[in-house]
Amino acid sequence: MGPGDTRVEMSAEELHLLRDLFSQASGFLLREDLKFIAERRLAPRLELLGLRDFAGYARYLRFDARGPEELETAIDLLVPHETYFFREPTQLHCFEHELMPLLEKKNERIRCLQLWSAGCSTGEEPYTLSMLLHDRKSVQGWELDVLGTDLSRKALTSARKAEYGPMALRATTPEQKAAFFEPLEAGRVRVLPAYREPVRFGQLNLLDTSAASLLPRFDVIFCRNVLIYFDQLTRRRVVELFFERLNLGGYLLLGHSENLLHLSTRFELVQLEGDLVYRRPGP
Amino acid sequence: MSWLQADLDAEGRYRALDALPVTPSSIPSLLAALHDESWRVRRLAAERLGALQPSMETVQQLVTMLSLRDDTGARNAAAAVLAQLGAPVLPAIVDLLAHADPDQRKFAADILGALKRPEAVAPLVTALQDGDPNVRTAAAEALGHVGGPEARRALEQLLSSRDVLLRVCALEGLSELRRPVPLPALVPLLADPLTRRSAWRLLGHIHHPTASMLTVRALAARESRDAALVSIGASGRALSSETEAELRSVLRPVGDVSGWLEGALTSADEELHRGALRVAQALGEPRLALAIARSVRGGEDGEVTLQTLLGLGLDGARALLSSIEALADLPAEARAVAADAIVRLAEPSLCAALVALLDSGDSELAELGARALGRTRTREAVSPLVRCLEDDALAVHASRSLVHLAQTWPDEVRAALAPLVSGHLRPHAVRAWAAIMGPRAHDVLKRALHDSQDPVRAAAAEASLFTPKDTVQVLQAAMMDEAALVRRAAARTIGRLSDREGRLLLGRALKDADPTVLALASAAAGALGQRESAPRLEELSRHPDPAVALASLEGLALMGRLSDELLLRAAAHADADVLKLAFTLGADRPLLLDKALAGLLHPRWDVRVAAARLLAVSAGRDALGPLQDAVARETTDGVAHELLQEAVETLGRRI
Repeated sequence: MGPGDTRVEMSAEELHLLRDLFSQASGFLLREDLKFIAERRLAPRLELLGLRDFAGYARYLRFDARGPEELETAIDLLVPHETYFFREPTQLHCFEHELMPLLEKKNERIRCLQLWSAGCSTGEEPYTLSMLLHDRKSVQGWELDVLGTDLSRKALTSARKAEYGPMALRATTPEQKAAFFEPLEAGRVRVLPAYREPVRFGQLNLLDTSAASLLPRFDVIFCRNVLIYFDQLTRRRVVELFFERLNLGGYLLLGHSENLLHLSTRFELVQLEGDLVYRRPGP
Repeated sequence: MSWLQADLDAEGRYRALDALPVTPSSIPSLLAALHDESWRVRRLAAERLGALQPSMETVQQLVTMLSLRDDTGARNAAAAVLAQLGAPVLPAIVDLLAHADPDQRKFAADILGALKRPEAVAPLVTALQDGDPNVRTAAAEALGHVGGPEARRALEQLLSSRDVLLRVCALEGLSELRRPVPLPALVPLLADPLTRRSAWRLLGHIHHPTASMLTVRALAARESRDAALVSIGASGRALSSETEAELRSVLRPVGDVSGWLEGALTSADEELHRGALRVAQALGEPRLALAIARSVRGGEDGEVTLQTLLGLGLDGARALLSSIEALADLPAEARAVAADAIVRLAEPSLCAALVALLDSGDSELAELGARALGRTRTREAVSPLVRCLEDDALAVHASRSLVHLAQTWPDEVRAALAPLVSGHLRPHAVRAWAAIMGPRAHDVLKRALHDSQDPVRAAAAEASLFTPKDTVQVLQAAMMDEAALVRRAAARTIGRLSDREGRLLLGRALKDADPTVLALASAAAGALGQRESAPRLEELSRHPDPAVALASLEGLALMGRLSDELLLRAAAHADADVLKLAFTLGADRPLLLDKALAGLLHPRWDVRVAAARLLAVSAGRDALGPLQDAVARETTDGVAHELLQEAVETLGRRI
């Protein structure tokens, strides 16, 4: 026997208590079907904190001085951070070949482009955007700003380091790997400085309206495979925030399996050749 | 208002219905909503009606709805409501068993089965003679749900029926009633295409060598192989070692068993999937490890999947670790169960693969590596783990793993850690060093206690437990520290000391200016059972900070010093969690009954449940009505509804 050999079960009541805490803190919805994962991912936390059960853990999260920090850790453990470079290539192709020409025309006077990767996890998406645009002739000399935000400090620390293992490169071609990364030890790579330069990161809880009010207006917001982890109310609030933070005529790009049905009627649905995107009405 | 507004979409109608008060005045709207085209709206209306105890007139309207051939949604929704309403609807449904329309008679039998009332057995037995085969089988199934000696006798008699479907229903019913199913009655049904699915499932419930033999033989033939898996899966038990050996010998000559099992593991049929897991375990084929992990579903199945992976042993763990990409690509549930198996199976030969996880760039896999390496008991794990102490996210796991490894390789772990505690100190290195070195960590602890970094001084306070001669002195110094973080670490540690040592330190800790320290000191006083601290805890139980009030109340309860007056005051605290604790701690005393009755209306579900639990164990018959009303009001939160219902049942049994 060793640590982790005995399983602490999570009752429906305990799951419910944790669900309330997570939802209030971040909008993350701990669905009943996540109980299996929650039990396994949080069990080592109980062991480390010397707690007997998940009711004690809920109490710790609510009242211990280290509760807020632990709450962040718990949500971090439960929300998947899985992402990689050049994910969902069809959508990226549409962005590059269909949206960008429209945006170049729209912004040709100000020569500036603001992109936001909301829920950027360990940074692969904002760096991918930077890689797609850096060598684009039509925007040479433009001011390019890519903001990546996430709730997880741990993920952001990793994003700022810009160092990645082979898993992050699973959809990256050898040519892309050679062009955008410098090799490190053990198959790891680091994003080259030129592609890191336009990217900045920040911690943001998408429910925190006062923090979100500090954000600038964006031309495109990427929020792919993030809304699925929120409850309906939070989704509405977040989509409303996206609407407010988009420039008139700006675009919202969601994940492959996501849409705004029942969430918002304020966006226009734009049919591109290879994808459907949402647009804030305007010139 | 009516939610039936033509301009509302389904979501709008759902929200409008949801906003209706849960009172009899809403019944007409709820009945109308049972006809809605959206199943969500219908389901919500059915749930609300089921909680409202409608009048007989409403019951009759629901029964009439069962005849609406063109509105299947409303028919099913009405049946679902009637099935929730209990004894009051029984006469109307029994009458319906005599209706001219066989569809309605079948609905009646189904509803009687769901009502599970013993009074329904006699009419259901009569319905076994119904002229319509669907009604007969529905009646037989319903008898299985209702149970009782009469239902059992009726089902046993059906075993000799000429109607093969009735025989299956009888077998299913007996199985549901946990009655032994006679093997001779079952065997002829195994080959009948109409009955084979049920028959094989039932065979799994028979714990008899002949039943096992039939199942294993069925594995040999392609056409009956999946049926045999269903039988094995339905048994709910692990296979005996004899059956496993027989199974291996039967499947040995079969080609591509792994391919067949991989397919079966992806089946949506729960019993087939469970059977595939049992057979995979019996075969011990490590190539199936990833497929087994990938097939995991939640709940009890997760445990069976884990046991199957563990059953594959070291080769299974090697297979899981053979490709980091494949491991990283597993869905979240599968990753969790694979990680569990890898940690438990970790041993020296897995060391290199686990070290590779540390460098995978995937934080979850890196954490798995850090946890599992400690269990490999190998010297090669020491250096990579020491490296992990530099990484904030991995340090906590690496530190524990190093302590584990030090049991086997004390000198190597000490030598690797020494450079980390000779210069700039890190908190996890200090903790690990003290846990490994014990009293010999004195010098490092002393240095840590005077470090400029708060977390390092806090680590010294926590680690002082490992240097017993220094503990009190270190904690005394830590309690004087200007950083609350350090004092908290000290207060947390006091609860783990002996009574004598704890007494020396508690006085200071319980006077701390910082509420977070006070809360931990109160918890420590409770853990130590320090009765001298009781007067101070009584003062602190009135503290406005809920964490302090909660810890001191619990401390007093542990000492047996929680007076009625304190409990009443706690129930008046502004924080809902303190009120909830008062309900929990005062459950054996009647003084909070009025508060608990009011608590049934509290905005927070967990406070309502705590109030209901107090009433369930302390109140009299008078509380039954308010408790039932609370259940009826709890229409949107399934878990709270169930917990409140449990309280009603507890009170019902007690009075």
